[in-house]
Amino acid sequence: MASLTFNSVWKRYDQVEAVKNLDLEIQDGEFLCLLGPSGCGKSSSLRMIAGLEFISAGDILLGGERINDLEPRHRDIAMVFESYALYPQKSVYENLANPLRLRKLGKDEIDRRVKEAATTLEIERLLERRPSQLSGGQKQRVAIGRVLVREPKAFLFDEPIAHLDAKLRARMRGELKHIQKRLGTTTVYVTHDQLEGMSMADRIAIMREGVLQQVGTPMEVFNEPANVWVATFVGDPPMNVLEGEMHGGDGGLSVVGEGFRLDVPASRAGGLSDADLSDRKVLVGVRPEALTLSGTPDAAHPITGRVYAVQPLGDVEVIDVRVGKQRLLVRAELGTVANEDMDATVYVGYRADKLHFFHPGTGLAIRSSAARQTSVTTTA
Amino acid sequence: MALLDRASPDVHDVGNPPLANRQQPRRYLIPLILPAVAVLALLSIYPLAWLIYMSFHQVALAPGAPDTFVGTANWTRMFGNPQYWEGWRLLALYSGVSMVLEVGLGTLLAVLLNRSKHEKLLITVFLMPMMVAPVVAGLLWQYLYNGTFGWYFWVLRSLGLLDGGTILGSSDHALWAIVLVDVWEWTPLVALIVLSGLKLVPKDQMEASWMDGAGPVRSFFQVALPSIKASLIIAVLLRFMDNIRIIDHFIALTGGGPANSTKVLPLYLYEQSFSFFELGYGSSIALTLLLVTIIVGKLVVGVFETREAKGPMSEEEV
Repeated sequence: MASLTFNSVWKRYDQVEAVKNLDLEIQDGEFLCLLGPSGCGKSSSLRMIAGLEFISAGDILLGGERINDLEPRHRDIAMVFESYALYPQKSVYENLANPLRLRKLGKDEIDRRVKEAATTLEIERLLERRPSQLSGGQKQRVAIGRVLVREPKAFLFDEPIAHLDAKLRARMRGELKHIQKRLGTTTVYVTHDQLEGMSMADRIAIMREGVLQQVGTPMEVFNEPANVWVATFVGDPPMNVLEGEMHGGDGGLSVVGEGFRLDVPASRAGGLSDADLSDRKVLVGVRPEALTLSGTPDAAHPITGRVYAVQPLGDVEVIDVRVGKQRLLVRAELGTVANEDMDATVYVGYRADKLHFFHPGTGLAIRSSAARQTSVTTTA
Repeated sequence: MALLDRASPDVHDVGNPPLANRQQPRRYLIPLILPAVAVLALLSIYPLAWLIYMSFHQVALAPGAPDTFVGTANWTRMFGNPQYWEGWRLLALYSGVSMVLEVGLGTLLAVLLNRSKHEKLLITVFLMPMMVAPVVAGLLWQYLYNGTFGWYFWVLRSLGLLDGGTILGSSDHALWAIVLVDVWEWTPLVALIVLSGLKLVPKDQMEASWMDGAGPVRSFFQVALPSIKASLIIAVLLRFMDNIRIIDHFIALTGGGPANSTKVLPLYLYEQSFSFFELGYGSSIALTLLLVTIIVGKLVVGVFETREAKGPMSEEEV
């Protein structure tokens, strides 16, 4: 077990810069999730830790020791591949025993560790099978088993459950998290699924086009997104972003756009006035769960919109509301809006303390020290 | 012909699947395969039958003269002839050593080519020997081995590795000299076949093997070898079939000498049939050669065949 550090790491392929100046510290025993859409550089970063890709510039340290020039086999890191990468001609037992045999462990010790991993993963009955005789979920367990037997310094997971069906994915999320917490091994987990990051990781590192956007606990990333891109990437359904213009008045600051007028809470006004906004334009973000719907206009529901579609999800429903040309997703109790209500006029209310403001040019979040405190209290 | 009949005569029975799903009647089967069978019979089956016929006769050479039935005389003569068995021994030695060297070196070459940045250029260069006709290759090496001006001869003599005599004139060296020609000419083909197999080696399994702690050699045997197995079978089979009936190099280089030390079975067969015109005797030799080729070919394929019986389990069985 050891900490992992990226020091100004770059990865360049011929024309493309896959990872740009990555600085990241992963604590000993931490479960860190590298999250981002495909092509964001998260897999390249993981493969550089593994030693499967050369590091173009910068250093990667494992337990304080520079590992740039070590071959994969000398790094003492175990990895689970997206495709499982089991050896098709070997039995499950041999697949699990392989890393131990390569370390020249005794026969009894190998047997003990393989059986132990098999018990943890509930695959004892499959030990004599070949990978071709296993289902996707079973293959995935064997692939995890192959890293569990080793007791390495760090685990690397490259989208390990991406190919499983939704039901099995939910179950494996829990199991992987349990195993990681029990063993306490430093873990880097790559995924494009924000749900996996939110539900499993101690901290999430979000990447986009090779650049690290934000690192933080799932709650920090969710409640205090560093920029508008992170805000819309994390959370399902995603955060709504409205374009508007700031107006000062007697009742304080407000943001006005086509079909809506949002009052800015006093605690945020300071940060917004200080922000360098050209043309007074600003992006307002608000999560679907911070919105409410009403059939009648009143002070609490100042935004006028039209029902575009309703998506019932069993316990709740997501209502797609069009405000002018802009789109708002509202999360509400099941039965708030019926299918027949399409094109009906509705009034949307919002929780002022749950508004996020972003700079329209840079996309960066506009914060104030007061706002920071409110959101921290909400988290706690 | 029962097999070729229509699969289900009672197609109009109630409960049969609708027309589109029903197995098509086989009434077109015979007319469709007949031309292919006829061509095959003409090209392949007739000569085989004729070969068997000849092996039991003393074949007359004059036009219109009748062949004499000699029973198993050709066969007993063949099995009693030490030169026949010596032909087999030399052939086994020659094709065995050639094949091991060609497959071994070819695989090594393929692995190196696969890692090279100039793979395309190098493969073109390496494939050149293969493009040369075997007889031409034989003549080329005849010059290289030549006892008066041959370059290899000169090199070996200068190094003191050749104690008098020439390379092809020594019954100790001649066979190995011809093995070298075959290896030179055909290793690139093996490399090409194995290279195509190496392209199919799963990259993720290779990487998993490195992460498991394997070095390059170990990961080659653990991951690459199983997935190039099919390519290796093809290479082994092709080289075996070729080597067991090759005479070009032998005719061009030694003609079976010195002192019959390179008279492999195909050359012996050629000599009996077309130098001495013992066509019946030659036919029995040819038949045994054919039989051994078929049996060994089957064995080669059988050795490598994989056995995968059971299908995947269902998710619930976890």
